[in-house]
Amino acid sequence: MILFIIILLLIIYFIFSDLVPIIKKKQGKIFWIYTTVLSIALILNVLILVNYKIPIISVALKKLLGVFLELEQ
Amino acid sequence: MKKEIISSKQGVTLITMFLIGSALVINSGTEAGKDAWIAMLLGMIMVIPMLFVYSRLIKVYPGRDLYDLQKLLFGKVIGSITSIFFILFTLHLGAMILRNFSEFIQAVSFPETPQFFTLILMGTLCICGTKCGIEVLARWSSFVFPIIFIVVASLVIFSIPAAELTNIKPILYNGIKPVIQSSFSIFAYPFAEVTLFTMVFNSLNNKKNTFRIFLIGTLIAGIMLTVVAIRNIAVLGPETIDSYYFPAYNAVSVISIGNFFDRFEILVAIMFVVSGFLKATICLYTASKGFSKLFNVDCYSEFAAPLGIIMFTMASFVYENLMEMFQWAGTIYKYYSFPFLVLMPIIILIFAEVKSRRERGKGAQIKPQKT
Repeated sequence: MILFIIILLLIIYFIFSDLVPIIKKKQGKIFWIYTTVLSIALILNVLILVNYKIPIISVALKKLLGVFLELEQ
Repeated sequence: MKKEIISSKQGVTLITMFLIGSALVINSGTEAGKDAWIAMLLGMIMVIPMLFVYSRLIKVYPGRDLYDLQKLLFGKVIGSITSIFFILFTLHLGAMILRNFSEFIQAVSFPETPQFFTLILMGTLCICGTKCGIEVLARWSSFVFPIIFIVVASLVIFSIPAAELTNIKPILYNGIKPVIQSSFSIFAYPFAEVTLFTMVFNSLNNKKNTFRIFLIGTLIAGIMLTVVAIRNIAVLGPETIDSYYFPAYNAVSVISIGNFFDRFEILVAIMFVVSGFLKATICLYTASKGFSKLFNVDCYSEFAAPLGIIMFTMASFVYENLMEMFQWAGTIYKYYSFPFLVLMPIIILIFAEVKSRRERGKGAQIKPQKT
């Protein structure tokens, strides 16, 4: 929980340091891209917080590569 | 967007620091055993033709990086798709480096501290580094590199009394096959990872000697890594070295000067933090740059924060555990990275050469793009 709060504080800090100037400059395109990516980051952290078992990237890639190459599993 | 310029010397230090990054502590190519140093040299030699490809990619369309070239050569749709793959690769690479770092910290210093905490701290530092820009990173690396070089050299010299040169003999006792297999792993990690600089070096002030910059940087890093590999084998011995996850750290721990100065392994940890930070930051920088080019946005630094948060969050589920991390680095990574480090750069270069020759044939001049 503490780690999630740290992440949340970090996100709030970046909203003030990055997103507010973007809104002031009326850069709509950057605003939407920034908000989307930041939301993905937040969702990933919420998933980790609720102990959702996110697939391990190396395991998934190993399986994928195993389809093409004969790798030791 | 502010124009960023880096000098040739800064380019060399950036490449050297990037290559020694995590490779100084985390060895790949352990299959070669006591001949790991030969595999290291072989991996370094194998990457030289690729350095030519990378430097040519920068020169063929001056001022354009790998992302620009993909859009220019493959068109908007296919170019964007390949760019997305490169962005994901650089983000994944950055996450792997951060995970190496957090695993190392947990194993040697803070076994009770959650790894995610280390990842947050390191990731935030990478975000700040990316926001500062490549010029600041280059200046920082040219300041830090001499210190790292002196520390590595001193640690090697101080380990000489504990080293047994008989440990590296007999040379090629198990034949050349394991050495060649290891050299492929070493080629992929760390040497061919300099591909990322094709997305960085459009900021170079002198693009004429790009190959020289790549070559000198790789040679310095390669020689440093080889010397460290010889030191590790000579100090720990071929049987013991396999039982350590971080042999460089353990090899240095035996140093004791006059039974008074010891615990030098902290210097290895500091070196790892410093060079690992640079490597992860370069990954985040290239990912942010790719992202800004994908959406035709001028300033890449705007995306450093959200991508950085994704990068260090990704680092927490990039591997299951420490053992898997080493297995990935030693056996899987070379296959996984091959399309990004070798195949795609070669394909892009072929397309770029053909297109630029056609344009020259038509009499049109290739205008350098403003960076």
